[in-house]
Amino acid sequence: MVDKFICPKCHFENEANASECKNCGNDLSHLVSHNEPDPEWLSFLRDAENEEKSESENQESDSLNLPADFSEGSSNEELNWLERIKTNKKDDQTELEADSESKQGDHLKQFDNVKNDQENPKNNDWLVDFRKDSENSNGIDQTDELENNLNLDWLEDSSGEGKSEETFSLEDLTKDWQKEFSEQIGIEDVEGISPAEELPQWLNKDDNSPEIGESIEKQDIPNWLNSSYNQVSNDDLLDEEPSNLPDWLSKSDFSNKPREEIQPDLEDKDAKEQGIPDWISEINKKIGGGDPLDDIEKDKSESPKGDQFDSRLLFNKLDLSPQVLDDEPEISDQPTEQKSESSDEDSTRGKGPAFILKPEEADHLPVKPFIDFDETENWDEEISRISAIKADEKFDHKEEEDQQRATSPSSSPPFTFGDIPSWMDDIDFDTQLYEDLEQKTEEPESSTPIPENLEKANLPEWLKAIRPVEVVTPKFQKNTKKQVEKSGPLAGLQGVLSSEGVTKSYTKPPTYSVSLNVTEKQKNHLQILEDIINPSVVSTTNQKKKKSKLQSVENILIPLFLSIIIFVSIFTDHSNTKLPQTFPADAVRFYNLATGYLSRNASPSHVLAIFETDASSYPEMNLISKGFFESLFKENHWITTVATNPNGVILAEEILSNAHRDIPSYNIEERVNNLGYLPGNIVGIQSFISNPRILSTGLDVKSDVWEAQPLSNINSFTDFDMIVILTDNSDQAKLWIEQMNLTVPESSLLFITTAKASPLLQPYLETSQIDGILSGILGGLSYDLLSSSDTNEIIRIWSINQLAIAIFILLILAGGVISLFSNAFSSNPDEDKNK
Amino acid sequence: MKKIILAIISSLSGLIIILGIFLQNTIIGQIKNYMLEWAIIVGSIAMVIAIFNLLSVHWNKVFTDGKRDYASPFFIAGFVTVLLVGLALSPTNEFFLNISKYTMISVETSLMGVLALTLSLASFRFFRKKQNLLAIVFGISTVIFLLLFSGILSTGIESPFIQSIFNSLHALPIAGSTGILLGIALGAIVTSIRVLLGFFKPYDRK
Repeated sequence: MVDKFICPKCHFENEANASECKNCGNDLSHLVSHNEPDPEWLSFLRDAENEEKSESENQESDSLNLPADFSEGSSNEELNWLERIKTNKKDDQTELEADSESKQGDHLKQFDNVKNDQENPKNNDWLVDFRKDSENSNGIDQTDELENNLNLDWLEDSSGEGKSEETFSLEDLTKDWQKEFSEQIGIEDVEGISPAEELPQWLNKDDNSPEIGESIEKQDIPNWLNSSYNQVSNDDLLDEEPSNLPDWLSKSDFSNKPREEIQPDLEDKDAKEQGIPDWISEINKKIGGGDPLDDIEKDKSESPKGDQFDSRLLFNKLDLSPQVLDDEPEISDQPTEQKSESSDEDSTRGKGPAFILKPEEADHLPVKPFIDFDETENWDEEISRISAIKADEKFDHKEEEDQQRATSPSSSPPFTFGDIPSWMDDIDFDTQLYEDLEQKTEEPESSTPIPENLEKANLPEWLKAIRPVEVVTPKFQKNTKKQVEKSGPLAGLQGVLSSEGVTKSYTKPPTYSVSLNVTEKQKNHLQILEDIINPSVVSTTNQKKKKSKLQSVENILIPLFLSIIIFVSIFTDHSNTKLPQTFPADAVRFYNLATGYLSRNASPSHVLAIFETDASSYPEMNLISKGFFESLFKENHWITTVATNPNGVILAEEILSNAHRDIPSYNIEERVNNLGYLPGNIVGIQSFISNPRILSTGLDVKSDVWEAQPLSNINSFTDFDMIVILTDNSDQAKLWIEQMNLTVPESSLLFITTAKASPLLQPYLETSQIDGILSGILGGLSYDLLSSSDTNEIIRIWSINQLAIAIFILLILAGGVISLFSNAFSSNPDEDKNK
Repeated sequence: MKKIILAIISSLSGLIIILGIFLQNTIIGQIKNYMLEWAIIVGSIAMVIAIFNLLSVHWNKVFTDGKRDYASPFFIAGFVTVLLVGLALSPTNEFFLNISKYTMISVETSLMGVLALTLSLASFRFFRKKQNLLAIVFGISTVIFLLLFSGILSTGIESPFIQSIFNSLHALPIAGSTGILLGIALGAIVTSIRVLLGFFKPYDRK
């Protein structure tokens, strides 16, 4: 409880039940009615919200488990740097938000309301209100009922027992807050505003001004520090807005504690404006210099309105930094004697600046850091003093906590490890994200102290490393200018579609070293394949050369040998040639049938001669059939020729002409009728056998041969007395045999064939499908001998034929013997094979 | 659908021809004769088309780059000459017959002479190419049947034992050719059945 009230006008301490100030006579009734101190230095914070604040916001501030002062002050504290952090972090933390949303605790939900407050643009006018409050020291009259509920009750209700435990938990949470804060700073740095660069090193320390802690400790303890108040607030928060937690804050573990700690700091600053209490003046004396906040206030008052934004930034960095807020709950009553026992490292670290920018780096910065402080003198010294004091205060708080833990074992602290929300337990601080942040925070501590007079310094490593996008992305993205989205839901955001730049840029594909393991089996297969594709050309050419020499000799000698022998035999007398003693049975049969068919009729018979032979067989066919046709001519028979082979027509004329030379008495023009070519092959044969008059009209197109003698008596195929087929083609002979046996099986069918066609016709002869066959020169010679015809020509040819056959047999045997010996004496059988 | 129609036509044609062969004096026999005449006419026209196709091929070989053939001009000259002489003098003219006769007989018999020389060379190299059992049997049989069909062995040999051997050897070609003919006959029957049933479509070149 508050025992005394400080007059907001003259800062004189009055009794708790005093209705007016004893010093200046200021009316304190409104403070007395609520039995709570309401310092004027907080009024400006409320004024900024009074006009616009609604009841819902009041409820939110209550549900946030924050003191009302902080609720209001949060809107004031939500400065541009925090807004920029939020806006820039939204896109980068989308993945972390998804995880943190499920794990977020009640404390984080309080920031949803804070965000709503930030969205109110009027909150940014807090400095204007601040000036008004400073000018009108009696501005507290403007506070309404809500302000009375939001004053320093929380300071009164705070108990010493819960303070120790809460301090312990707040330290841990503050570290997390620092991590997040540094990350946000890094994002701001990316944008070019780079408030982190402007942040002096003393802000990174765990220093706190002892004045603030002492003043808060002495005056009021907020209600929200009580466990009961905390529970109620959390329940309200859950009931009212369970899902209003902003995404950008879902992951960051600010909780309400840093915010709570900000408010006393602001209160302290306001107290300076309204009227600095005694305890603050004592601290100032210990520091040995003027209060830096006063200097800041002076700067603010002296600076033009155009610098108001930068001043506000500076103010935020000084008072709302996490280091300052971190020590806020660690309110300690310990005397400042222990401040001198703080480590030298902390003291030196607080004195020196965090970093000094090079001129080149400073020129590249889009916003000049610490604009207001650049214009002041010795600002860094003042800030270092404050930070040293804060460091001592922190040390004192720790000792105090230890003492309180020892003295109050039965206390029920509002914040314990068990009370830490589940979402904080799930946070993995060992991840790379937090590792980088820890390094950033630890690096300034490990660095050597910087001399005081050193104006310029290199950019700290932690600040360089604070740019995660540039570190992670490849080099080509560093040069690319981030594009500001102009349309769509992402309009106004910069660099949110980072993949677009990646897709537009082309990089060299990575190279991989791949080693191919080839087995022996695969090598063998490869060798075989190569041999197939690329055979040895040299060896083949040599073989071809050798082969060509031997073959050229053989190609010349052997045909020449054969030709010479035959040529000589033509002009040789064969009168002494020994004739065959036995005639072939086929020839004898043919002779008997032919003479029998021709002699069965008293009148001359009608003989159909079918020529199925090529011109190449003319010599042989002429020799064989010459005697037969001479016999026909002698008996003056009617001869009709037809051919299914175009050459047959001409050969028929030639063969009959040759036979007619020996029998000139035969009237060939009258007795012989040439029906010409019979088209259609087997169809023509079938049709001709079925009706010979329709198909063939003869060679003379001017007259119809079927109307003249002797064909006028022929109406069907069976009207022919004898049918003789002269062929050198067994296939064509087969067609005639098949069709005739099917259609006119009773007809007499004789064959005169060459030697090559005879074997395939022998089965038909054996099966009596044909009556007789006269084949080869031997058959012709036999027929001539049987019919007593002229045999001089055929005997001469037969002798030459025998000689040629003997030569062929000799060549075959000679070739076999030569190859036998060549293989025996050859060292390379393959080469001989090729030969 | 087109293939089905063609298959039906071919099958019906085959059946009519077969029935016409066995029933020649009936109307089916008459239909068979008409159908055969149509086929002959179509075959004659096809032969004319083939002749002109042959002429165009050689014409292209003469007047197209990259396909030059020195035999083509001779073919074209001979074709035009014989055609003009035949149309002018009729096919029964002696001059026309002599031109055709001596040209074809001389050329084709010359080819047979070249074949004889080539066979002599092949007979000399026969055992060089092949030294296996089949080649030996083939070579020996060739020699035996050359002697047998040349009539050399038929002169002066009156021994009944040798005559019986010769007769046995003469029966060997008949046995072989009988087997070949049986195979050809079976193949022809199967092909005919397939054509009749529509499984084999020689008219469908796709």
